[in-house]
Amino acid sequence: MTHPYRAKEVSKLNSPSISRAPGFTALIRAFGIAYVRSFRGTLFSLALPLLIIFIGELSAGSHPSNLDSWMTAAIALNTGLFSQGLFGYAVDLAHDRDLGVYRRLLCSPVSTWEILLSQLIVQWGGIVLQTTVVILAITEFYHASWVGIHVGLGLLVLFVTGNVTLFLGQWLCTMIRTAKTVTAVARLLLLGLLFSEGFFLKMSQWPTFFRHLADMMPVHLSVTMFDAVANASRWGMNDWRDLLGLLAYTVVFAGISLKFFRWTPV
Amino acid sequence: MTILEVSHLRIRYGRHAIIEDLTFDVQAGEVFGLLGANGTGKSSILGAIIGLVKPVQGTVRVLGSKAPCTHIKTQLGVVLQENAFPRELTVYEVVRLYQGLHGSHWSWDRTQQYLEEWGLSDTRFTRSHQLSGGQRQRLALALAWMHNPALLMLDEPTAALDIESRAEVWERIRQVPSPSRAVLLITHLTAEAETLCDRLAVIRDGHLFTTEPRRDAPLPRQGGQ
Repeated sequence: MTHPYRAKEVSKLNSPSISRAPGFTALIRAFGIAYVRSFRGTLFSLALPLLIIFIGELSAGSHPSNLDSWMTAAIALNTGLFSQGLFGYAVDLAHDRDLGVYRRLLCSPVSTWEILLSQLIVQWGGIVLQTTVVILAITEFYHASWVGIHVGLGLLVLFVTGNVTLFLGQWLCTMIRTAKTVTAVARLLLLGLLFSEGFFLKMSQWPTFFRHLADMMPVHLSVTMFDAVANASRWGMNDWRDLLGLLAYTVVFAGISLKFFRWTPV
Repeated sequence: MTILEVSHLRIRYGRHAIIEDLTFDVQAGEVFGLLGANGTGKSSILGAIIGLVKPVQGTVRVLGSKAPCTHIKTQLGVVLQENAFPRELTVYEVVRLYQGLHGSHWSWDRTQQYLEEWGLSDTRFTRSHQLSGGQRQRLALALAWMHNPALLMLDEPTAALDIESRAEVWERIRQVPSPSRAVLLITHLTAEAETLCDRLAVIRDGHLFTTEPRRDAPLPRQGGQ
């Protein structure tokens, strides 16, 4: 069958020329507005780490141990990042998918890659802002001073941990199809996260089996690395190994998510 | 001029066949209707055209190009049965988002005027999750019409609307067909289909039966049933 008008010709008839850049920008702007107005993500990713720093400072009393202080700071940073991945990203992603927001978006000239990338860019913006505030609080409370090595290693660990948390969120929404279940599991994971960071009970007091199990979790890997970043002289081969471990987690979470994630509701 | 061509389309959900060997086309200048009871797979056909549903067999062509692809979606205006927009965005921001996705940028005044045309100017600062069902439907219709698409695909477009709004949308649908534009109307309302459609396909048990309705059928009783 011949077609007197091909798509491009009718495109000229009906609309101006289409460039993809404005579409991508529009997505980033829209997700950015939604991110700023979403109270839940901000609450968990900012308020929780600040609370941890404050409690840590109070409990240190008048004889703060430098090691404990840095560990508290590392836990605070880590909790903020994982909360962001679970509540700032995964829960909102699952809710929007359930509502059919992405299904409607995919009716317009936009690809799933553009949606995913714009979401991640916005989340990364949030991570940078949230981490900056937490680091400023750490600097203020613990009178920390940062030199080049701290900043370099810190950015590296931040980048890798940030990606793990975001793809953990994406993986969660890949494995679980309903927003209610994602929210419930995210809450459980956050509780497990605080446990495995030694927030409720110091790791040294855990039974050996659970301690070894927690040692392999991404949460623990990143806490020890953040701790090592703060004490840059202690950064060693084990930390590079932990970094590789986190990268491996990122690859696994991202691989499963990119292959099996569904943007449309059940 | 053929705007939409669906050939030997077959859709299954698991072992359950929804659509069997469906073939039809939509020509420029017409309103083509897909009529069927609830659950007959009408929306799945729309999903297959856009790419939301993966058919097990068959091809879809829009303006001669194989669909679905991002480029061809610039020529489609879509109203889904259930329309959702990012919850935290206002109506104005949703319109801006979809303008951006279609590569256009309107001034505040033009957007405001457009929202007024669709009876949405009072809700321009209302967040989308606070809209009523009817207002959300109006927004979905406004977004579908906004970029002057070659093919408007409307899935139960008047389902959430009151009688007055329904008549207004019918009037808008009537005005769409032109030498380069067409409408695919999916509905379960017989009166709506017979009133608006130049050609009508009835779907039953996954198969298609085509009939030719009267072009100048009188408007049905209010309510459209």
